[in-house]
Amino acid sequence: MTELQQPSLAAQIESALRSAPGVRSVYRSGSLVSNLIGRGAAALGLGDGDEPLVAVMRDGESASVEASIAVDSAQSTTETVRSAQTVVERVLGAAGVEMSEIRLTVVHVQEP
Amino acid sequence: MDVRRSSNALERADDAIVAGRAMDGDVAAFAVLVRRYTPMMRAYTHRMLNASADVDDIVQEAFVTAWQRLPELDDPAKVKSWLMRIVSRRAVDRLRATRPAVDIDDLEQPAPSHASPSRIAEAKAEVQALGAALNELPEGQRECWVLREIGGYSYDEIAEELDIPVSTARGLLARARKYIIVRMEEWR
Amino acid sequence: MTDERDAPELRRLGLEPADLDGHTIEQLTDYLDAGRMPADPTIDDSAGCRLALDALERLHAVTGRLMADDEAAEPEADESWVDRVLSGIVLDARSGRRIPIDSPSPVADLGITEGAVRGLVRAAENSIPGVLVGRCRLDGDIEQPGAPVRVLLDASVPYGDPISDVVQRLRAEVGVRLRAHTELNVTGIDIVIRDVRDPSSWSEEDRG
Repeated sequence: MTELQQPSLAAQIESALRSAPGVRSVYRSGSLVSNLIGRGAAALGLGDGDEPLVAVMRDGESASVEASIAVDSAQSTTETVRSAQTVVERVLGAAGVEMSEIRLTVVHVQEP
Repeated sequence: MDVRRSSNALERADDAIVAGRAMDGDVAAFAVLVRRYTPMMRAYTHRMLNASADVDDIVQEAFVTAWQRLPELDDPAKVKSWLMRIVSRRAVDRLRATRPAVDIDDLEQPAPSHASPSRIAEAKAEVQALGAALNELPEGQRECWVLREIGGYSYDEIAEELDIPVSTARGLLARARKYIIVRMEEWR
Repeated sequence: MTDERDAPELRRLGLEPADLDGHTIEQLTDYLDAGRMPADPTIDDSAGCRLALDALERLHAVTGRLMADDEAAEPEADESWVDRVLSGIVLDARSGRRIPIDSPSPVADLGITEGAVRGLVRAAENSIPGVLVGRCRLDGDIEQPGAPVRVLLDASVPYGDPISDVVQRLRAEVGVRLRAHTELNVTGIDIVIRDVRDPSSWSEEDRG
């Protein structure tokens, strides 16, 4: 039986993602944000305040995670997203949760 | 790169480039199209409606439709006439919503203006005479005329747009032309 | 019957078939639209028709000026108008297909959106002053790792530098970005120049 996890794990993952090297922003999972020159990322996808941006579906001792991110153009996106994956794994590991699935999508590569 | 930096180069770029970016999701490029074509679309809507009340609503709705349907535009270079078609459809929809169907048998006669031409340059007077004549036309004739002469619609397209038989469209257009020509001649 | 020696000014303009030697205004309009081709002597030789054709042509010219005047008389779109229009737009389109990124982990599904890649391609213009990238398309089965992909883009270049040089630089910049940020198997980058811009239209921001 799956159920949506309490915000705290999702919030931890979100903040870990934000501090991962090369990650600029986290967007609401499944949001279809695309190239938005001139529109601050803050204007979109950063949630209504309380709802977590990262989707975590908990199933007993494991969880599946989904997130959309914007990354820096200065690093290789491939490397950034792989290290983001590692970061999420670590957070789950620290919470004693196995990662059954992770889906990370880069929706924007941000120029300086 | 922010909006400011792109704005001057983009503001002057040709339609194909600007529309191409807009269809890819570039909001700044879409804003360029809004600035570039708002006067034209407002002017056209004014002529179709012969009233100013709803013009801004109609033009705004047309742009919203345009944003949604941009991916359908095959050739971004044709965005100008494509925008005209969208606003034209909106204007006609508004007209149809507020009045009964257009009928060739509608015997409403135009109400000629009695204003005399003033001492203004002849060229300007001609344009004003045309504008006045258009204002005097019954709705059906004016709509057909605007669609054809300003919108560039074919007879078939006019018929489809106004939901009338092609013969009716041709008839209304013929009457409109005659009226306008006669009025224009009176001003010469 | 027409009398070819009638001075046109002495004839009153008539718009019915009786005045037009059996023709209708509609026929004359179609004739004008077709550029008076193929030539029809029953029209060309009719004084009544010629008068009407003149009136129709004048009307056409005045219509053009009316459109221009109408447009000039309308207020320009100011910032509050632009905001009003943009506020009605849902800013959520265009992310497109999802392009996979490989990961050694079996539980990981990593990817980048087509929209993000188009943004990347467009950002190549930042490296070459004066260049603007328009529409960008990715042709190929980008959702399939390793599938061949062609990148097609429109560009606007500044007048002055040889176009082929600019295109080469742009192509190189796009290639660099695609290699840095995707695993796409790019088999070609096709650039179509849509527009060559006059340097007097540049602003300070365009220079370097």
